[in-house]
Amino acid sequence: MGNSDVGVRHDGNVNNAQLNHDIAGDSALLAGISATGFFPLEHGSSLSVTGETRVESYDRYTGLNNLSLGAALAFRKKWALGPYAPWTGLSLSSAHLNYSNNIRNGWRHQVAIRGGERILERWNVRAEYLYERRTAKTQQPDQPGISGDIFSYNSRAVTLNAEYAWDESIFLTCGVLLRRGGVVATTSETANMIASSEAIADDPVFGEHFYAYRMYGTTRGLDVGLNVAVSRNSLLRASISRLLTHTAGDNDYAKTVQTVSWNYSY
Amino acid sequence: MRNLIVDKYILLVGLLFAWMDMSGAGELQAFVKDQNGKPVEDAVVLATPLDGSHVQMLKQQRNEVDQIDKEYVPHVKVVLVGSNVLFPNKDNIRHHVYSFSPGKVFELPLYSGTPAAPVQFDKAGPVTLGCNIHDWMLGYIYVADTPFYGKSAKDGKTHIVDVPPGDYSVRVWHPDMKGSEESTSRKATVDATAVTTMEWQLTLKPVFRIPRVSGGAGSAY
Repeated sequence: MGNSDVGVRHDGNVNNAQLNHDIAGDSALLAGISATGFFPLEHGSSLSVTGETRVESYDRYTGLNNLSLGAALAFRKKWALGPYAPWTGLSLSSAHLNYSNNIRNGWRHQVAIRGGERILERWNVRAEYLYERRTAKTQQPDQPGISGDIFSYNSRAVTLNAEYAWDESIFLTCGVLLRRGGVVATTSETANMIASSEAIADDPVFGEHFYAYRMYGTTRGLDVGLNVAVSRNSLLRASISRLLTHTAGDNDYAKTVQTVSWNYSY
Repeated sequence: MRNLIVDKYILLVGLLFAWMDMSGAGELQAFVKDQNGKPVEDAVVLATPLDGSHVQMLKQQRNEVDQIDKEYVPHVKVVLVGSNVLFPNKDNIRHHVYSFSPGKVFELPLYSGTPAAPVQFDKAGPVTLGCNIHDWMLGYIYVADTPFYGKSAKDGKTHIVDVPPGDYSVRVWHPDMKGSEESTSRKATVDATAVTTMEWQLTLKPVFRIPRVSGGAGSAY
């Protein structure tokens, strides 16, 4: 079983900056291809093994261009027979991220616990708990006594999603997110940022005198989407997300992300 | 050798009687459209003799509903009461066929290829098929209590041939129809010399099929 997708994403605050003069928006072309071995097991269970590669190509900040190669192992169990049966699942995944700007290179490991149920003919709901571990090569410390290990952090996120079938081929989605863990903001240097950061390093992607700060933050998000099944195997998706992040030292930032993508499975 | 010749004669005599029996048969043509006037595919049209004759023609048949590219093929299958149906899996992945329908509750747990035993459908009416692995897979078996039935093509038309002349109750069933199939029942007289034409306008419910694909890029924090 294979899956491929192409899309465009615009992130209004790609560097997670707080101040208007620091905020940088950019658009990226996205593409991904994956192959999945799907193994139905007894008693409504299944196991899947997926290999995936993705690319992101940015318009302005080309240092963010990246290629990832990853694999995932997922177990899923339906607790009864039929499309309305509740299900739960566990997945483990790892991907290596290769950026044009190599300070971001590293590994992303994820463990996810999921569950869901089609509660009515038109309504499908899903919940997910995700633990993520990012590891990257430690950079030279920029500030004495503060780590240069910018792109290594952990996070935990809970998402709740609902899908409503408008008609036979149009599906509306809505999701909320609560995430806690490491975030990286790249801005010009401020004393407040330095004081509340767990790690700091030069970040040449956004220009001279820009520094990447790793902080602990809480993100709340809302995502709405429109999915159109254009054929039996393909889906057109448009979504908009609003994410508000509160970090240590009140270095809060907000962003809006719009994505349009086309997904084809075979 | 002698037995073979005798068998051939028996076959010829049988065919002659069958031809004589059908030579006086009529034809029923039905057109099914939806509330917008568009032709309805996969509508099952059933003609039941009002005098109860010809029901003796019912007999068990062996039928198949395939699973191809993770879909039931055909989407709607009509069989006679008492028929045996096989569910060959022609995909390279295992399927888990089931039905909750009052007409036939059954389950074929995970299998590849063709299950050894067919499923017998001995109660008239519709049976909905699902797959516990692929939730979007949806199929229907209509178990007919009359041998005079047809299924509409893309143009909404069906032809029921070799119908003995007489009075019939004719009704229509479709998986997405609103209301009962009994409410579509009409009386029709089949004549050996003319084609009897009938037309139905069904109100179809919107269908919410589970999509095969899902996607969407993740968010950046």
